[in-house]
Amino acid sequence: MKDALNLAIIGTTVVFASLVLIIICIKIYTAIVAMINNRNNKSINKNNDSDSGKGISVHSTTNVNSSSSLDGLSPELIAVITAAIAACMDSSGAGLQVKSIKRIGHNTPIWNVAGRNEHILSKI
Amino acid sequence: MWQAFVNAITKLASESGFANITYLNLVLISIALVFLYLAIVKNYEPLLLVPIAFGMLIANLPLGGLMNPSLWDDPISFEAILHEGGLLDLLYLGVKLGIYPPLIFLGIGAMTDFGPLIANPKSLLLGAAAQFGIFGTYIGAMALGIFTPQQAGSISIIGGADGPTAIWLTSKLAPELLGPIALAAYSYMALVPIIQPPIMKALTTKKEREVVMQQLRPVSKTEKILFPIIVTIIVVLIIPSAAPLVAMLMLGNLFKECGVVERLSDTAQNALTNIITIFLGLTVGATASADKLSQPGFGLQALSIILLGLIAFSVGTAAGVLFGKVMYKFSGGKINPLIGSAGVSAVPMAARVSQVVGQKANPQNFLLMHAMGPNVAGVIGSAVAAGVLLSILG
Repeated sequence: MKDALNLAIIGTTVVFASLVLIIICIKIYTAIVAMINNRNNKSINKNNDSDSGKGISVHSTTNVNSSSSLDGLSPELIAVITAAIAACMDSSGAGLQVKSIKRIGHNTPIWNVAGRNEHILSKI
Repeated sequence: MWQAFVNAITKLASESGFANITYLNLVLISIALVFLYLAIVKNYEPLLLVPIAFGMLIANLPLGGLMNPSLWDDPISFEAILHEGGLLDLLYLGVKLGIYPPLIFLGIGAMTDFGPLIANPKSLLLGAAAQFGIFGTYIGAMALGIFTPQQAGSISIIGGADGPTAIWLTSKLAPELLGPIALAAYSYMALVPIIQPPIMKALTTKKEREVVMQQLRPVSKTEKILFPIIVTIIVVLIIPSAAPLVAMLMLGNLFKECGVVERLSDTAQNALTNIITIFLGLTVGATASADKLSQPGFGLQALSIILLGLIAFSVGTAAGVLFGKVMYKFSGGKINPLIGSAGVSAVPMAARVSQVVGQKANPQNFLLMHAMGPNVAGVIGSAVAAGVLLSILG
């Protein structure tokens, strides 16, 4: 019985230690990737500033952890959102600049949310 | 003339399966039919339960020669198996040698998005906490006194809620219990939506269940590509015995995320996983033969496995939720403890349960992606736990 208890304690400790080590590694490498992305974004911003007014340009101005960052969004998604904005503004898109894309909080009417929830639940 | 005819008919009858069937065969055939009913009519894990139940059925039809349990008695002679073994004996080599479960993990890796876990690495702790079900049940199984440490370790892994991991570890530690353990593991995985919600509700307050978590940050492609490489290096260096499962899981994920091997990713997700699932299910089912059932004490062991499996599952769920409550306190109420229950693996069923229970408390709550973090962390956690058990008990 004592052996069983020892194994349980050792096993739990090893599982926690392994996963904590993975957490630390994720934190480190995501910070490095964010730093590299920031540097790249800054150089893109500089290029965009010199090209401004010539057409649609998209650039992020904040770091990767901010909700306003464009990092992590696929170019296709950014293109679709930009095109949707251009369509809403009834514009050809010339001179349009999307500087950031932010997700906004819940402000949808409750009945719309309930309907959407029901629809999503039927799919999962 | 008439006598010769009667003799021929008598000989045929005595050599038929009807004359050789035992009552234990009939019991197991009935159980196989119940499993087929559950899979086909009730839709309980049909992808696995149909081949498992059919394997069980054909292994208990006498004189078919598809599986010969006597060939697998210690000491095993692989030469005899290759020369005298039936079709299922040959396919069972993939289970015995630990080939199928890692290949299933390759497919699971190719289907899994680790994005929510990378966006919120703390959810790995919930995946670790839920593994307490495994080690807690190990103590319980040993306390019963009817299992060897190897058998207790194999039973406890049911708490990891991961079928391939349970099969992999049991085939190494206690192959004689493979049938009941695999069936218990997959049955409880199918019953996640019934087992988990009462535990989750009992351990949380309404206020805790209503917590709306912050939107996860987007994860870049580079981060997703680096993840499987880094996890493989760390886990294999710490627990080398977990290498087959973790390395294959991460290779599959690398196929998916790197974007340059679409064909390999597609094969791992679909064709390969389906083929291995057929082989695995059929052969695991075929291990539930009448010879095993007639061994003294097997019935008691099988019943204990079913009970301990349920305890393992429940303890794992409770440990995940309780750790979720700790994280709720430390985060100042930003983490919904319901996502802790998803740490038991059972991807993606356990995450769906968190979503459904959370949404009942607060209809505007979307916990699915938040629960996917601990859910996939549970897969890594249970593979690590299996590695620990194998290296200590193996």
